[in-house]
Amino acid sequence: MNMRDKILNIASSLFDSRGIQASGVDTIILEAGVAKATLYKHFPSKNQLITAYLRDKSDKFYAWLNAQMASKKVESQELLLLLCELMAQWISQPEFRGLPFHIAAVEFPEAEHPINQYSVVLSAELQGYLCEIARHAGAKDPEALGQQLTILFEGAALVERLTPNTGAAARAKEAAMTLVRNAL
Amino acid sequence: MNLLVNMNHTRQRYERICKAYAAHGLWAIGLKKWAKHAPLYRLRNNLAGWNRQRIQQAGAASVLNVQDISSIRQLIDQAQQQSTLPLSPALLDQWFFLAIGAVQVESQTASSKAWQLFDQSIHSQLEKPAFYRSLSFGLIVSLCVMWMAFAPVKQNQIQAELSPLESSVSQARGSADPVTLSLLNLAYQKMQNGSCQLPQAAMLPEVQRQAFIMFVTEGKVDTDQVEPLRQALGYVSCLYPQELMRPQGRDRLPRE
Repeated sequence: MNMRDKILNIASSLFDSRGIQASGVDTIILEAGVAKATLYKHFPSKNQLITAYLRDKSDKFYAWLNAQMASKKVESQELLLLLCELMAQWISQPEFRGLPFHIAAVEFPEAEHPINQYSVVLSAELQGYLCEIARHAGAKDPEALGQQLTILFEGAALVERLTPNTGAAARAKEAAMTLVRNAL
Repeated sequence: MNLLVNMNHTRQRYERICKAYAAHGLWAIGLKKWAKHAPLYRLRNNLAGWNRQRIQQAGAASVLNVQDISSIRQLIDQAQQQSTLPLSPALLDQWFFLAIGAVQVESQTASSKAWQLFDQSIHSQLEKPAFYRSLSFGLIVSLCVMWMAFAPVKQNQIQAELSPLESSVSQARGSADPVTLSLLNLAYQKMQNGSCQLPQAAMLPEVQRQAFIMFVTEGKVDTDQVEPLRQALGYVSCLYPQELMRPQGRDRLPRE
């Protein structure tokens, strides 16, 4: 593991457990055991470190989702139903801390803040991803379905996080499947 | 010819009644359906209003908490109870999660687009599929075709032969049945062609006497006086002269 990844891992762990705003640069340096100059060499500002953290979380999610879907080898309509199942699995994982763009928007609610703006980009990215799958599955209105699924899972993720182990993820899966079946 | 005219008149009256019942039925069905769906169609506004109130109290940056989620669920359940529609738990959950997502998006971006998607989900679930819409349209077209099939063939000729009674009945929106009206019409025509007497007229009850006088002098009948008039006409005694003996200049119904 190179120094950049080491710093990012430590920072991610702190952001997940304590929150982004609550984890200062000094704490990250202390936990990572690196000099301040080393941190700033790889991440010139805290915002850049946060952006890298959010990007990394998103990339890991898409990598996991793609791997799961590739392993199932399902086609068209079943792909959307599988997607609903996988999204529900993802938000019910013990280490789930919320959707990356939601975390960012909550911690930086000011619309002008660069991290808030980046959360909008990440949200659009998820919508685009879901729209593409909906289009591939032959949905009547893939744009609308992709956006609806994004909003639905954003809502489900929050409910799961606020009230864990109450079956929110499983109910979200059924709800999403109802939405998908109506849209095909 | 008189019989033919009367038959056409009766048929027209039945048509009007059928149309009125059909229109009322379709309207009633539509109204009932709208009434059932209305609480759910209002859900978006109710939830968006609730969120605006929440933002005013707690600030735009406030994050949803357990209490907020409970309130959203309560609003959805209330709408479902008011609508009395049997909705699946999965569908209610769908709107629940969409509503929470929409609240978050609105709070973060100040955009109402997420609510449009929420609304779209409600409408797409409640409105009939295309197959049922086509079926309803086909049914309406069939009804129209049936009405057209029963329409009089020589409308202009019949209109020219309408008696004063017919024209007054045409404007009426009363509840008299077409058979009674047809009998009254027949009686009116008989009275036009004969020398009729009503020896007991002075002894008729007031209601019957009024109805009778309006009928013989103006050829009109109020919709609420049909029955008294029918009873009054039972006392009419007419003498019908042979056609050649009919006095000159007397009004007669045209004959073919």
